[in-house]
Amino acid sequence: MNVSMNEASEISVPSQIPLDAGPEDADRLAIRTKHLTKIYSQSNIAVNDMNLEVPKGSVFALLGPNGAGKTTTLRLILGLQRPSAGKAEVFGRKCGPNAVDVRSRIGYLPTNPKLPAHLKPIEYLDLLGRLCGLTSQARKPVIASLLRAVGLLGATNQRIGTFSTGMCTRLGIAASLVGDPPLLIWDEPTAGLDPSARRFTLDFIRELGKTKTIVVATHILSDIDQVSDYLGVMHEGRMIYTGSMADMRKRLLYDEFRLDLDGESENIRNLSNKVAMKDGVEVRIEGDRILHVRIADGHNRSGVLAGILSMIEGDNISLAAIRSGQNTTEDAYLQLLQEDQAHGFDR
Amino acid sequence: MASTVSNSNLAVRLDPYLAICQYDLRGLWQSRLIRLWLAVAVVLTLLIMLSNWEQMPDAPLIAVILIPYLVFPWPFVVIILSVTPVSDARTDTLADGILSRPVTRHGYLLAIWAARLIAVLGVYLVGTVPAIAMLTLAQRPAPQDYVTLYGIITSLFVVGLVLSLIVSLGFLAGTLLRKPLLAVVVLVFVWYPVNLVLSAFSLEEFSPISLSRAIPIQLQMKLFRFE
Repeated sequence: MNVSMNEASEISVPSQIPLDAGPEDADRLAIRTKHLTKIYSQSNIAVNDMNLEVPKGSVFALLGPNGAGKTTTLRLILGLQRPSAGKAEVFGRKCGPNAVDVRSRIGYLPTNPKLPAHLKPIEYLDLLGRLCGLTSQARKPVIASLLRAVGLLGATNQRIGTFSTGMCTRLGIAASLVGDPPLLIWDEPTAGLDPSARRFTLDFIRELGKTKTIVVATHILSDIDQVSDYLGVMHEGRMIYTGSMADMRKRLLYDEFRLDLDGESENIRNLSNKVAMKDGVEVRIEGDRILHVRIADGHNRSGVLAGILSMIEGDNISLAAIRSGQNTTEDAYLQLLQEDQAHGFDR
Repeated sequence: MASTVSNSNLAVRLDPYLAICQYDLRGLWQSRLIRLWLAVAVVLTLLIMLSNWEQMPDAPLIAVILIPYLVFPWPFVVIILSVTPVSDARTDTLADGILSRPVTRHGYLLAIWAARLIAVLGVYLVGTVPAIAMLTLAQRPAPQDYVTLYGIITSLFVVGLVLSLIVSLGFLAGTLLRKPLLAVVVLVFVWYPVNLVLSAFSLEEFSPISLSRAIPIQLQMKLFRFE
């Protein structure tokens, strides 16, 4: 597939995205929204005073529970809806229903894309190629390479109406890439997909993220945990957190480990008592076989953990699994949502 | 040279909208409503023609063939056809697939309107022109009168104009009201009592009923007096 190198992918991006970026930052930003607000029927606030900045060349995850306003935000950026207040800019240009130049640089994949059932994949992509202003000669190789890239070459004779959800998503992905746009906006690309299709989509995001700016909206953090550089967390129409994925993980420095053990219950209890006697370590048993170990600040985590592991080895207990609180950004995400809910009144 | 370049630029700029128009026409052709309408319109025209083959002169018979497109039932079908595809929730989602591309909203709406118009006029012409040609060219045992080519073309044009008006009203209502059922109800209540509205402005000769009464006379009109 012919994927052009985004000129801004070489620009370094700060670990924390500033919200008060000046006009000079327009060159390094793919998307910027300022006080973006959408209110439906003067009653339902879908997006509330949102300031968002997406650096060029990054994979940005827009997270939030169902109904948080993610899809509305993306539709405002695309110009499919008009904002009630504020503005959105893509590559420094204002978005709106007639902003053709903005949309020519965006590839959009809606949630569970509804595609014209009566067309075949080639016909559909050909239509989109024409909408993107590609000539007949340019369209044909692009369509063939896109269908090959998403693994739909074998389904070119089928009507789209006969496609499964996974195939529709693959075709939607191909559709979003017609015209080789430098910015991709994908709304819940893994919704309703089986594990293999989900893996395919995430690998595709990882691959495309090398050359393009990608915004992925989802409510499942584990989907994009490994592929995104930055994330924004939305809750009830507000952006409650923006920053790098690394910063998000740092929010959860509990220094807590969970050890899944195999062995006699008596031995595990003895181990627990021995571990509890170590300096700066708190321990608690969950059930018969799970040990939660928390290491206090100022203690060498790797040293303490090595000591615990050698104790396990000496007590005829085997270690089935070890998990760290740091590994799960899902917890940090849920924590953010809980904090936002708890501070609702203050807000 | 410059004109060729500007023409090709225009063609490139119009191509996306032409693509939308073709796409919508294809979708309309796939719909059961338009296929059923075409089939029933052709059968109805044939029935009218055959049942009056020996009795009715050309002008009143052609008028009888055209009346369903002016008064009832086809304006109702045209209203449904022009309203539904722009306001249905599913097609809204499909439209997003197009509107998220580099096309303007106005251009998109214009292309869809043009597709509806072509579809409606296409069915109308397919349903009437062959029958009218057959009537006027055949040697029938019916009482003789005369119709002129000018009269036939202008009559077809007038009915086509009325259908275009209905398509435009339906499209407008569908786009503004966003709810297909509501748009159909509003249009039916606007279109069928239109006689009363027009007579209030002394324009009753433009009402569908008045136009249908005028068609036999129109069919016998000549472009020039010496024709």
